[in-house]
Amino acid sequence: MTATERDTLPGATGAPPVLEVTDLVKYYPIRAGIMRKQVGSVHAVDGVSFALGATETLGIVGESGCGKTTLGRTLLRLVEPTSGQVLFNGEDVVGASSSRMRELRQDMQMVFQDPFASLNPRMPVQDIISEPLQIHGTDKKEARIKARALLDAVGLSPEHGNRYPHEFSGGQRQRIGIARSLAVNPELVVLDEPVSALDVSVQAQVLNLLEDLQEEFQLSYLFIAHDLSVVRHISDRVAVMYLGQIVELADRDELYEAPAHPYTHSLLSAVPVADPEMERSRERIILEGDLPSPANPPTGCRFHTRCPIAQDNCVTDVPPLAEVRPGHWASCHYALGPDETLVQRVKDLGREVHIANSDTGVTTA
Amino acid sequence: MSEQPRPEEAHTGDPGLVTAEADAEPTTRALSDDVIVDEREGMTISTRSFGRQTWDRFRRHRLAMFAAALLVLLAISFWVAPMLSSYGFRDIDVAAMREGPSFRHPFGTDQIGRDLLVRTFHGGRFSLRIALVVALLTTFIGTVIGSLAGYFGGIVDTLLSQLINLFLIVPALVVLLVVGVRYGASPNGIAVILALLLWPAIARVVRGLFLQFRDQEFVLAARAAGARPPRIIVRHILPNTFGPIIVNATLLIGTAIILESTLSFLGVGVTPPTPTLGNLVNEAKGAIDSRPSTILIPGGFVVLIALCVNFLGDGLRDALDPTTRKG
Repeated sequence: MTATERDTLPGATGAPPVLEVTDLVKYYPIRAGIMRKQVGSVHAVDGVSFALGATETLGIVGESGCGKTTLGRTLLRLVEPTSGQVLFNGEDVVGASSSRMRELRQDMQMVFQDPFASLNPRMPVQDIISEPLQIHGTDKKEARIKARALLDAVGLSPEHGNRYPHEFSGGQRQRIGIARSLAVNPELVVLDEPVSALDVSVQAQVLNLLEDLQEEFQLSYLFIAHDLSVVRHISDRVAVMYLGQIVELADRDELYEAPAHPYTHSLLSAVPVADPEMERSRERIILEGDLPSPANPPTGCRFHTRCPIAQDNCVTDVPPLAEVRPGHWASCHYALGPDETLVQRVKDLGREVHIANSDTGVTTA
Repeated sequence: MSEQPRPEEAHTGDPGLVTAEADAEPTTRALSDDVIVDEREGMTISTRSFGRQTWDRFRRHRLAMFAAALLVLLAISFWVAPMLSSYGFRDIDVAAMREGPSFRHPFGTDQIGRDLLVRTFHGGRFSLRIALVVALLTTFIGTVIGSLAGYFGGIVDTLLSQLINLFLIVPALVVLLVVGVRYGASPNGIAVILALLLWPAIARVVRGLFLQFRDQEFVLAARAAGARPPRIIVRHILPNTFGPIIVNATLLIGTAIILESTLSFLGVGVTPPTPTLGNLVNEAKGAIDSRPSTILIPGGFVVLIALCVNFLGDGLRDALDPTTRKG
């Protein structure tokens, strides 16, 4: 890869990036019949490129099944990628030998979504937290001392180290998962929906903890979530995924206030507004149809089957993820301008579309 | 949260438990109160360990407790009772052949004057020993093969699964008859043969459990931490499969006792004069009309042991299965 190409990675900033991902692809084979012949593949992650700067938080949002989780796991090679390149501090991760990969795992860690499934129910918490250290050669006694310090760092009592996971609540377990990921002093932490299984009040506590830890340990976060408000709260920049691809990537405020991609636009308009006056008067587009099957993604722009502003060439031409404004990437042939709304554009096109507003329910404009 | 309220934490639901616990663990209760101070999520938190919870569940299973106690009693008496008698299991009392129960020979004697009480208890000892060896060996082989197949999947799984299926379709009785006739057998020999025939059942159970656990997030987390497969298998997955493995191993004891008796009755089990429960039934089969007690006593022991083991297995299954956590 040439230097110029690397510079154009979506999300690349001036600072040296911790993580550079180019054209990452993960297909899962679909097998059928007695001979287990491959009859197709699920395109879970399909050509994802982005860069993540040091001590930065990149949020990844998207619907269920859009490939967010697979992306996170593929980056750490918990799932082997089909093709593509992942550079961690300039070093190739995909091609790393298994022993080198084991060393790299000290710098790249992960927090999992389900606080009930991600902790071994038969291990005391201090062993869960100190295991990564022991794997990488710290002796048991020292690892346990560090585990106590980590318990303290994530707001749990070090005395509870000899208890089992089932003795803790969901939020506490997620803190344990975070402590485990920090044990080996990583630079990058992939957070796979770390708060989506928690109550809202507990979510806020865990998010604040994550922010504090980021500052304390100089961490870079890849924050995967489906909750738009959570992602807005914690991220510096946000990438939106649809059917295995990034469709838009921009600074947080830019993305939330002036989305360029119609998909992002309709996602954001689905978030209810707290002010009842505003909520009643605002108009929003309801996406039609279901998420297409990732085993058989649409041609051209993947969003064209549900896009209210799609034109003929959207069916055939794949829109590249291009910089539509400085620092703002979107993959759409007809990206919306900074002050343009999707409803406006649809009306300009003279199309009939379902617009929801709380007074009238669904109407047709 | 996708989890239903976890039953083991709902203390109030079960009055029997509250009393059982109140006197048992006052200190941990106080501790569990301070755990939930900072983050209340509508969950009370139990601080009992897994072993403790299992035991609490098990001991409420009356039939299983009774069966366990009876098994222990039987085992002790099999080992102790023969020592108290002045006869050995090969000693022949020519003055007393084919005798009915008497003070000198409480179970009577057989056709060449050997004391049946001593022979029955010795027989129980050999039968139980064979059953235990079978259970241990079977569980070991089955666990190793099942965990390798389940964890690694792919070609390893395909090959090992075919091996499992191959052993499953072997007609056990025919093989046992052939081997028994050709080689005769010591108690350990019989145990090894039985284990070679029974391990596929355990291997299938363990493979299934490993398939279920290997994609769980805690296993992924171990991989993300850099753990190698042996560590993941032994430290992470295996401890989570102990419950079903223990239950199956227990039930195997019953199966082995019955199989051994069957073989010995057919005359291809443990070679006489070593007594096993099956041998005793075999030796007495001509006397079913004249002296039925000589058959009914060893036969009764077989049934008793098999029943106890099955009740014990049921109790363990309920106690170890987290989905039936009532404790």
